[in-house]
Amino acid sequence: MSEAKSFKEKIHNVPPVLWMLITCIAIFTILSPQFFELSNFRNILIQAAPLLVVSIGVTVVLLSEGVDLSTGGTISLTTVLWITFLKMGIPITVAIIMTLIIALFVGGVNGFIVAKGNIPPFIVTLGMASITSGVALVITQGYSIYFFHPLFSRIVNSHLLYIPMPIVIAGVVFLVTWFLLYRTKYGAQVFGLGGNPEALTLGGINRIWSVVRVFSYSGLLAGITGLILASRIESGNPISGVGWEFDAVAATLIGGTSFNEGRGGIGGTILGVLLLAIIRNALNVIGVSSMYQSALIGSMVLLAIIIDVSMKNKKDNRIETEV
Amino acid sequence: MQNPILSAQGISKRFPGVQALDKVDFDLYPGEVHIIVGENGAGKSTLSKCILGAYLPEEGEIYIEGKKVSIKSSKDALGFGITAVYQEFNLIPYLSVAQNIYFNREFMSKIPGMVDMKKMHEEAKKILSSLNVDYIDTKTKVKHLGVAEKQMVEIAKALSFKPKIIIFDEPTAPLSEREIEAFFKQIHKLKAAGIAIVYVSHRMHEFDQIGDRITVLRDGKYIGTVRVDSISDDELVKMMVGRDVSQVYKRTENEHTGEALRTENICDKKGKVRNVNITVNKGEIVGLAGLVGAGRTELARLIYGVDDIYKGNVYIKGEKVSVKSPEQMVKLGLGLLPEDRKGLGLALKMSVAWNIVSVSLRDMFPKLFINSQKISDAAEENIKELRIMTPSPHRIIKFLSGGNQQKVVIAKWLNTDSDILIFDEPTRGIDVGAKMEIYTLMDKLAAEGKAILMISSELQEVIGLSDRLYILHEGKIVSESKRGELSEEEIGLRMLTVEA
Repeated sequence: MSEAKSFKEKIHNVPPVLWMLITCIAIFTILSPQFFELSNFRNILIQAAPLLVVSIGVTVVLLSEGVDLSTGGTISLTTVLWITFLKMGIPITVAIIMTLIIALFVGGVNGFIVAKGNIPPFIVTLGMASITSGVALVITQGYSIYFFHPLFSRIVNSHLLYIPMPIVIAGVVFLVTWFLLYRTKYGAQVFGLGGNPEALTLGGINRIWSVVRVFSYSGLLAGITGLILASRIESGNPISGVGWEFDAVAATLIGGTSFNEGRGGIGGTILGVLLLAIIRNALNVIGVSSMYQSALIGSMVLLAIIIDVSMKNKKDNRIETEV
Repeated sequence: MQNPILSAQGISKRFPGVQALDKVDFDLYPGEVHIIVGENGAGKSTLSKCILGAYLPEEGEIYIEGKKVSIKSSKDALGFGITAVYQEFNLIPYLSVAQNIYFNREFMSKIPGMVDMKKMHEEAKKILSSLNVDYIDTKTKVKHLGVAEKQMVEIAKALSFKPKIIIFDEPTAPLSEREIEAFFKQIHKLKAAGIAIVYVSHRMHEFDQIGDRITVLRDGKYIGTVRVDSISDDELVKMMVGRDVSQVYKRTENEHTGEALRTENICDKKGKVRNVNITVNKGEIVGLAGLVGAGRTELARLIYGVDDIYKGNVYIKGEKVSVKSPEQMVKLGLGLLPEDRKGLGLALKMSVAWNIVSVSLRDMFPKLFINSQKISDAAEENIKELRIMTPSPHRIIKFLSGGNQQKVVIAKWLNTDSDILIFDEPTRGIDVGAKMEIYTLMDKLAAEGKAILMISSELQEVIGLSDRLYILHEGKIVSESKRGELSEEEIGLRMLTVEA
């Protein structure tokens, strides 16, 4: 190990997602000058904020060697539940708490089935996604339900110290998660679950509750995302969360968190979310028809993940040959 | 003399179908390194797990500092000051060194729920510097450490419990020579600090350097406890296997009928093999000795067609062949049992049966479909013949001991028409009993007329088994001798090419 890292080594250590971000920004700026405007970047950040919230939860799950594909369903359900509670005349803070408790509970059930039943998390959470969106459809009979409350626009449009509120919310969620992951014993357990579950048992930790905590957290953050989304569309929509689970997992993977050993972290996820948001925004600005967007974004995400994984493999090989 | 810190008497433990421990006695004094030896399955690990509270013995008593105790869990064991450094490291890759040492025992700060990172790193640093390994940064993620450093972190973790007894299970297995030396220094330090050490191992050449006493187990039975300085290696092996050492390298007299494999001035591209001429006859075991890096494995790879031959010829059964690929050499009757058994010789996640038939599959089923019954039948036969210890042919090979894995590799080649076998380090990492079985097998194969080329770093084994012995030095053959012509010292010297 050399003390001073060479410039080349520093370049090698820059996460691939940062290169992709820079490249994308450069390309889109050339394609459309409007893209590179301050107001547009502000827009991108506001659009990215709710995705960041849910992606942070998914990142925590991936770090523990799980995966959560139920977030989209949870988001749909929370928009519907919250609006339904409001329509029933329940005070808004109580409705928020009730909705979030349900989201947390949905995540907890995921975790419990995964850990207790020893069932692969992708199938458990996929099943849960089906259940939650099904319930949302039943409640609304397949329609959007509308309601208006002044808090909605405060969540979407107000500012705190000149920062738009959705960004503030995402920032708070990030900070709280950062402290939980890196400054509490529960965070250490997440990395333990991902890296060496045996060590947890030997350390006297109940693995099942550890897993339940991780999935509950992801459920809770999906719930918060649902609240932001419902405020934005001022309605409860049983299919509003469709596709979010993919975006959240994709942002996490692009951000450098890996499916095994507990490698990665929530810092990279910010970059992954930004990349997704930028691609989506740029396609709109450039004027690509929404029909093509889904396929294009899918391909770009896959490409990003392939680049990331192959670069990582190369790096690992390099390290091994050095030994 | 002091009183023992730990004394276990008449410990018995049964598992379905096996008496893992049968009335075993064991005692341990402060500041002592007490080695437990025995073949695989002798009960070494079971005994240490009973002390650690992982297993509860059915019979027998354990006394700690003279008081009778019952150890039901690792938590209990810790309460009595007993901890372990595990063979498979129990560290979490993406947590820092300090976080690993204090995993789930974090120092809490004044803010509820928050860990006091500063204090944790300080305390971890203290332990690491007491081990003289300050160069390990407590903030580094364990993932980025080498094996030896990881072990140091494990030891630091064990020490953080302020233990009176530490159990080591095969601690030197993953370490290099230099790392082992450093590790032994740590053991001596722990000893000097009055910590009692239980050391489970089968690496006999290490015992002199670190051990005080040895307890020998065989088939779950207590054979005896001896002082390290009062017993010879031969006597120790006899205790472990219950047989005399002179029988270890028994060879059957047999005719060497004609040439099977010959090389003529072969060289490789990198200059690791230079103008090598060797001959292996049918029915003969030919040894290939030399230091690490002398070019032994490289030579085998050339003959087997893995690497390209730069110059020279290879003759199989008198006929010149141009070596192209391992596939071609297998067809010509060659088989290679590689040094890296787990990486190259076996499909670790597949069953015993599949591994056994993997090379012969194409001959067994020349048509499209295979018959899995036929595969298990064929495997069953080999399992019986080679005495492979596996509950069934469908057992995943990963779970077999090293010796049994090696037998599967041998079985794999027995099922083909191979009559020239190259064994590269056939007994590496295998316990004494299994080694003997491998030797017996090799002898039997030679007696059946197969030609065997054996590469080995264990001098006694190449000397004991080979009919003829070549010594390689820096890619060249520097000596050829018949069985019994040279003494061990002479051979050792020639490996270094110091003229004797």
